[in-house]
Amino acid sequence: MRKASISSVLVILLNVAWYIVALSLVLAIGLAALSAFHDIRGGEIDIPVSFSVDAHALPVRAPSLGIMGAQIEHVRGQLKFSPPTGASLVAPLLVGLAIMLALVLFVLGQMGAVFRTLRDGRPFVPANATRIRWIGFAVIAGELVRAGGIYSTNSFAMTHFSANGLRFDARPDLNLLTIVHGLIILAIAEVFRTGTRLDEDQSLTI
Amino acid sequence: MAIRVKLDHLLLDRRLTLTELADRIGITIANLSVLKTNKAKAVRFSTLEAVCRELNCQPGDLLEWTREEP
Repeated sequence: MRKASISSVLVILLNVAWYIVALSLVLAIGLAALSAFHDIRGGEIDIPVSFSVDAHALPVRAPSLGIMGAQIEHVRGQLKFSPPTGASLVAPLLVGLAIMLALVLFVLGQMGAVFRTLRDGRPFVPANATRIRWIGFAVIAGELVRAGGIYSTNSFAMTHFSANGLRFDARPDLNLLTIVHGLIILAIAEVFRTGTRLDEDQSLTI
Repeated sequence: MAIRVKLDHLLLDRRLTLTELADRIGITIANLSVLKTNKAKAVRFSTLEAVCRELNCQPGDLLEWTREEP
């Protein structure tokens, strides 16, 4: 398969993904707006939680190693429940989802624009450096929003839920690797910007 | 840019068109047009030599430095 055709296929895939995410975003915003005015009942919702296991209630031992008092801490899981009143719980979750979808939509749009220039055979344009830079910012912002959302749901579970032998806690769960990926994309954007400048100089050398 | 290419003046003096000069020195009209309209960022010595040879001039006749307004 030629490079140009790979770019064309990627542009089509990104366009399809963009429309699917855009539709999901519209649905999420619509449902969030609906849930603010109407009590949405029925169904179950999952929220991410973090908890530690009470060492007295569930002692963990390893006799073969001579360990008699180990503890299970900061376990990540999903808490599934049927919300009694939808408006107070569903709306914030949908707003969080909408923010994440908006970021994904933005990244897909920028990537689509980059691949369109690649397909057209003129990738070294200054606009692409700016687009790649914004993708890097969006990756970092997305991770911060995700970590903030998880912290919020953890706090919600810690405040309202209880279980024998479990202690819910709240942690942001920031994925540093994703932040590093975002920083790498930002660095690549700057390298690309320098490259476009050199390409422009080269094309204007007669 | 502070360096101006006076190709239009020289072409007028020599009664040559841009197309004729492009044919003689083997450079595309588009590139020569970039040079003539002062959009070029750099000029290769080989280009300068070819233009000077065909227009029978010195590099100084082709290029002019003007002080830029701060």
